[in-house]
Amino acid sequence: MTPTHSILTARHHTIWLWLSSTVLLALAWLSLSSGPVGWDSRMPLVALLPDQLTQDITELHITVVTQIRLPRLLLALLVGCVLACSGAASQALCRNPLADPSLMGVTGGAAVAAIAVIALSPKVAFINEAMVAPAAFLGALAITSLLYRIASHNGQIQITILLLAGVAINAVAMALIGLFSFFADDTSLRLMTYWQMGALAGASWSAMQYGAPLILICVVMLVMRRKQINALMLGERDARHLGVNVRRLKNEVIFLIALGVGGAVAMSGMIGFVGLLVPHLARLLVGPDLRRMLPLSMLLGCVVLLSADWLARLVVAPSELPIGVITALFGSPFFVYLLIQQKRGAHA
Amino acid sequence: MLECHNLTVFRAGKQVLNKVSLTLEAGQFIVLLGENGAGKSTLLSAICDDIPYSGQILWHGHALDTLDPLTLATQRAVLLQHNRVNFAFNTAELIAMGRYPYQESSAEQAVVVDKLITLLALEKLARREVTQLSGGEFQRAQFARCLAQLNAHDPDTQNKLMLLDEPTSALDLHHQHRVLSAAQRFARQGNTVVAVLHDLNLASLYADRILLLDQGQIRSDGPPQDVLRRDVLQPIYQTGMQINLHPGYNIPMIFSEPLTGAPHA
Repeated sequence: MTPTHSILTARHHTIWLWLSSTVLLALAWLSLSSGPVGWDSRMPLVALLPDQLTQDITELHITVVTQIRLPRLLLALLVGCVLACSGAASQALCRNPLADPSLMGVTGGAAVAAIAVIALSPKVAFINEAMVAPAAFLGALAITSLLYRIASHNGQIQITILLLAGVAINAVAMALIGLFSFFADDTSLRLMTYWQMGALAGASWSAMQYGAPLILICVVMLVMRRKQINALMLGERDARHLGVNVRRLKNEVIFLIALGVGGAVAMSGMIGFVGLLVPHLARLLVGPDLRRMLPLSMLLGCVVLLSADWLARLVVAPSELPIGVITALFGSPFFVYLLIQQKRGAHA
Repeated sequence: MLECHNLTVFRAGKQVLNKVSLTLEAGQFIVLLGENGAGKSTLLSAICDDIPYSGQILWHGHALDTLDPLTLATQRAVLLQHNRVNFAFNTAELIAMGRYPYQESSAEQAVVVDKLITLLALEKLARREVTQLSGGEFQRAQFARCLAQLNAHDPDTQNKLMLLDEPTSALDLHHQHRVLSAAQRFARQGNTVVAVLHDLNLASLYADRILLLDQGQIRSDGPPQDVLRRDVLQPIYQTGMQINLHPGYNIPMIFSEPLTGAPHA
C-alpha cells in the first residue's frame, strides 16, 4: 500500500460509522422502550421474545409501541436522515458550509405551502390531507430555485445575499403563516403552531405514507450523485472541466433538496439547524468527501433527531416541548460559531 | 490539434476578442502574452468553452460541444485563476478529484496521486487541508489535479490539451520553474499546453511558441526569439526595455526600465 493510499483513506470513517450506528441503536431502543405509558426494555423485541417472557405485557402497551412509538421512531430516522442529507447538498450546491435549508428560508417556504393546505382543507372541497406533502415540496422548490437565482452571479454564490434573502423569506413566511392563522379554525390553528415549531408527536402510519416517499427518493438520489456533488464543491467551472454536467446536476440537486425538505416539513413541521450542524460535524470527523461524509451525516442526523426528541419529551415531562425548540437552542449558537469561524477564515 | 477559426467575443458590449484564428499543434508549449485586458484569458476561456463566442473551435477535427463531457474531460484539463475551495479536502484528496472522469479503484487512484505528489514535490502538503494552504501551495495542488486528470504521470500520454491561466502567479522562483518544467515536459511528450503568463522571461525560457495579444488580436506569433523583440514589445507594453541574450541558453531576456528616473549610479 502506498503512502498516498493511506492519506486518502486515513479519515477513520469506519470507526465513526460503527460508533454512530451503536449510539443510534441504543437511542432507538430507548425511544421504543420509554414513554408516558411506562418504561419496558423488552418492547423493541416483543415480537421475537418467547411467550413466557412477555405474558405480563398488555395489549395496550403493544398498541402504544406499534401505533405511536414505532411510527415516531421511524419518523425521527427519516427526518433526521433527510435533513442532514439536504443540508450537505445545500452546502455543496452553494459551496459554503453556512448554507442550510432552514436558514435559507426553504423550510419556511415549505411550511407556508403546507399550512395553506391545512387552513384551506376544511373550506375547499378538493383540498385534503394528501396534498400537504406535495404542497410542501412545491413551496420548497419555489424558494430553492428563487434563492439560487437571486444569490448566484457568474456561477458563484454570494453567501451574504443567500442568508439575507433567507431572512427576508423567513419573515414573509412567518407573516403568511400569521395571515393563515387568522382564517383558520381551532383544529387547524393547533396544527399550525405544531408546524411552526416542529414536532414528531403527530407521527402516524397514515401521515407517513405521503411524506416518506419524497424523503426516500431525495436520500437515494443524492447518495447516487455523491461523486458529482463532490466535484461541484470545487466550483462550477472546475466541475464542468472534470466532465460533470453542471447545469443538469444543479437542477437535480435543487429538486432533490426541495423534495427532502418538503417531505420532512409535511411530516414534522419546521425543524431548524439540523442541516447545518450535522454535516459540519460529519465533515469534522471524516472530511468533506461525500462518499464518506454522507453516510455518516445520515446516521448522525438520526442520532441528533432522536436525542433532541428524547430531550423534548424529558425536559417538561409528562408534557413535551416541540423538537424545533431543542434544535434551535443548540443550533443557533453553533451557527454564530460558524459565522465567526468563516469571518476568521476570510481574514486569514 | 486545436483549431480556432474567427473567434470573436463580446463582453458588456465591448469586443474583447476580434476574429482570432490559430492552429495549435501537439508537442508544443504555447504561451499567451499581452498586457492586462489584451484578451489572453478571454481566448483561454473561449477554448475552455466557459464563455459564449462566435466562430469555431475544433479539437482533433470535432467541434467542442459535440464531444461527450466525460471523454472531453480525459483529453482537456483547465487550471483556472482565483479559485478557492471552502471545504477542507486534503491535498491528496484534491488531486484525486482529477480522476473523476476515470473508472478505477481507489488503490489505482492512489498510485496516480502518489506519482504526481512526487513529481511536483508536494509530499509536505499531501496531508494538509486545502483551506489552510497559501495561494501558491493551492495553485500547485490544483496544477497536480490537472495533471492527474490528463494521465500526465504516464510518459506515453499524448494528444491531450492542458490550459493554464497564470499558473505561476502566486509561486516563488523555485516553484515557478518546477511547475513550468512539468508543463513543458508534458507538452514535449506529444501534448498541447497553452499557458497565460505575465513574466516575459519565463515565457522565453519555456515557450516553444508565443502568441502576443493586443486589443483582442494576435499581434505577433512565433518562437520566443521572433516575438520577444524590442520593436514588438515596446509599443504594446509602453515600457522602456533592453533585450539581451541569456548567456547560458541563448534566448532573449528582457530587462525592463522604470517609467521615471535614470538608473542609480
